Amino acid sequence: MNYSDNNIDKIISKNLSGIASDKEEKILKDWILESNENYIIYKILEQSAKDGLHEAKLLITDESFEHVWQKSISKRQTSKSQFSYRILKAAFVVAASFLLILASVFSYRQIILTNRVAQSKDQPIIIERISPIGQKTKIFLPDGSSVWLNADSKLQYSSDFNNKYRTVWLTGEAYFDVKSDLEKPFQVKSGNVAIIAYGTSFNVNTYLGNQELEVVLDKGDLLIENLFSSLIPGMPLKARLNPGERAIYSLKNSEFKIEAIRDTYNYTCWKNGILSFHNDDFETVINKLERWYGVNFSWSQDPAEEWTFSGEFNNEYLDNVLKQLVNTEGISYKIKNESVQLVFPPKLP
Amino acid sequence: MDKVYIHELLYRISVKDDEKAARDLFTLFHPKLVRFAVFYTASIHDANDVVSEVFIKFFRRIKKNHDIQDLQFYLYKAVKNQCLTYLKKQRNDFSLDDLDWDNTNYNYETHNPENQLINQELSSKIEEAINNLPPKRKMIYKMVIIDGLKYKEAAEILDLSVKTIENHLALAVKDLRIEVLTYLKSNDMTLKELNTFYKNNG
Repeated sequence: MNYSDNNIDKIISKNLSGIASDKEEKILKDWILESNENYIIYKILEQSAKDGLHEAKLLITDESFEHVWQKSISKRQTSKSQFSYRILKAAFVVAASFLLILASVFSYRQIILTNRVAQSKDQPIIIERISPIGQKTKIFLPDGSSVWLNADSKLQYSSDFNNKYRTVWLTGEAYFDVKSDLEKPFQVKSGNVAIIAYGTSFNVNTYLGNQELEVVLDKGDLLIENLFSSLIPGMPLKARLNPGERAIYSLKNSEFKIEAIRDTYNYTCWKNGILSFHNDDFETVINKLERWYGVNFSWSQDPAEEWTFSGEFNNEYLDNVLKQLVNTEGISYKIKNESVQLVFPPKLP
Repeated sequence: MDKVYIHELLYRISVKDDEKAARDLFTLFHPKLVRFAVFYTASIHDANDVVSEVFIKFFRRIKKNHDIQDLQFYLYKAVKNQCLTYLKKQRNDFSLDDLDWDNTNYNYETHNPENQLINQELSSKIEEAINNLPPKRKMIYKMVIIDGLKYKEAAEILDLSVKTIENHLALAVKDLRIEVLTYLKSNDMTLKELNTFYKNNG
């Protein structure tokens, strides 16, 4: 075959840096198969590129690092206040990098999978834990983290959880008490959002109305990322939470809204069997009760728009909760099996 | 280069002042960058100073820097700029053409590498061959093939065209091919032996 020497060298170098086209790869393959020598030479060059150079390993000195770290830490700049502004501004730029990150996450997962197959033929399996309506479950994960899974919620994780990333998938609501491990970040994925934690306690709720995801941080810190933001330019893609902050992420608009809350208790007490309402609107109250007690509500008419309900119930019977609800608004109720009927007082003319 | 890993390191440094993460990041880039800086400073000592200076600035601004999308490219550029500043201090009027390209060879003691896949003699042979390339070509080969910079990035860092990078790499590969071939022939290494070798080493 006729290869211009210069041409094959160009193709080899391109392939070594991973940018050869399909056509070039084919030419290279033909060349490699042409002779044993070609095959050996290519293999050796490829391996040397992968292994790197010994000289690189000789240069590192711990003193250089100590010097750099001490000098930098003495004059560290902080710019926390600029953070959210900068996110918006840099969103488009950073979007591209997220695509890369995402791509490498996927390829990493693939590598893990293939490695496992090679090692043991055991494919990692997905473990699924479900809390049915009306029940709460406490789950202990292999890494020592605990998860309280609220009613009507599902948590999934792979049997190779704890390998490098600790990833769980959530539908519904759960409270996470994550065992600290800086080497292996803990990720909660739900829809197109990833919540990344290193050792924190937080509550994630995907059951709000209007396709919203709510994250409330108790302790530690968190990073919330929109995994698909790279697909839509200008989309805000991540937010960082401080303890006592609550992030609402709108799945529809892909927007983050972060606010400080006085007390995380209202958002997390459910795990201790406390059903709490805090100026909740009618829809929220009904949803919470349905999930908590495993019942279905029907009602004669919608209450006034400004209708809200507050109250706290520690492992109470539904009947007692409904009594409170009725007290506040003059509503009456009937419980029959698993259905609850609410009757509102007639509207004033 | 594992971007997720680097992202995690940056995050840990910026949020937690995590010294271990900073050390890992430093270890990842410091050797390459010093090697690159020597290209300009012609002295390992000065190259080390230049790279340390870049890292000090980088860590000081970590809260602003933690989003950098291609950290390797960013650091190479920062080191290059710092080198030019360094050289300008040395001489008032300086251009890249003034560089004494032949003065950029530096010697290392031979070292027993761990986790090497190619046998040690062969891999030091290749490393020697790489270091025997003409200086500019050698630097480009190390930056692109070994350290994984893109052609475009290397071109921008070195103020060369992509075409020039491509040509240098092709010529480097050609030289290395001839070196390896000569080595194989002089050692009577046959394909069978090499296959056994690869089998033993995964």
